[in-house]
Amino acid sequence: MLNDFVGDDEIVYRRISIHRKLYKVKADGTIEISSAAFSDRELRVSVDRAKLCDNNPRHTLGNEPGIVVGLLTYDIRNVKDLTRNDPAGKPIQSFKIDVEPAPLPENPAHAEIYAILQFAEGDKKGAFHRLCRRLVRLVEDKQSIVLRDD
Amino acid sequence: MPQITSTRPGDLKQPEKRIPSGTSRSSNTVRTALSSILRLLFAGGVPGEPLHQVTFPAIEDFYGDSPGAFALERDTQDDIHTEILPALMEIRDLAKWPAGWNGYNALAPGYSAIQYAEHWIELFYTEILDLGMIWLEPNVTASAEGEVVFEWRHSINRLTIYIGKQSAEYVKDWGADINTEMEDGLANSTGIRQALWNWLMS
Repeated sequence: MLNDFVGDDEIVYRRISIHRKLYKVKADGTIEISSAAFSDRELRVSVDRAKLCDNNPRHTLGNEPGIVVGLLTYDIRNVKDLTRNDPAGKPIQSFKIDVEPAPLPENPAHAEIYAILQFAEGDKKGAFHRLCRRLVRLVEDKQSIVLRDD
Repeated sequence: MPQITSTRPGDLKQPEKRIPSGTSRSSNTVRTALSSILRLLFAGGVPGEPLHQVTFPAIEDFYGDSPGAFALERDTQDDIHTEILPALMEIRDLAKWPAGWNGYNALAPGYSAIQYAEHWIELFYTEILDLGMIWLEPNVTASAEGEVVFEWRHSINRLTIYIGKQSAEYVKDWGADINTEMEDGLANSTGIRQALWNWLMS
């Protein structure tokens, strides 16, 4: 079944609104992304699977102005060394990052970036923020903007 | 809980000083400037936007309205630190953001977080001036949790501050490696904040 597993070679889309200072276009045309662009209350980052929306990032952006960034699932799964640390900075729990389908009635392409073991409340301030920074670096390093409508 | 993934020599090992309870001349000046601008902006209110009626009186409560403060306000009009005013105005603008502002499931920025963010950025600004260093305008946005988020970039260094109700946390990164090029922790003391700025500008 197509929906059962997100393959390493799949691209996932994340929309970033123009209105909330979540990204900035520099003078040289490159784009800087805010860490807040990946923040999520449930610590599971919503994305859309490109192959389930006809590789059309407009599906993800909708009619709102902004950009859509693309991430390779392999790169997400390759995020290493994310840990929960004690106050002295000693790692006490390692996390593996994965992407899984999370289809919604109105959006069968929906998927989520999440941690194994699951992030706890205390990870909102540490590990999850570092994951957001890592995702920003992934996008910025490759400038993987798949749609600009701003 | 603060979580520090790694440290680099000389980074955040300075003795910590607690947040000062008093106010400096420069911090009063910033308050004065903000208060004056808010009076101009919100004088008479804006029809259909009752939020202003809630937020504007609150800033006077937060900053105090003693006769001495107003005397200082009159005396220091020529000494307005305009550098920080854009950031302060952007922080206040967050109060208008609705739930779902990011197109996903974000909470509206919290009022307590906004209040504390104003206080925190003002402290940070004066602490940077005390170091004799220059100020860089932050990107001001919010997190899905309703926190206020400040971000600075200088060279390869990135500094992100998350402001909650009464606490500030930082993430600093100078590369993509989570284990060796990122660090996080609390940013609730002068020593930490000044060390962060020294690092950012290094």
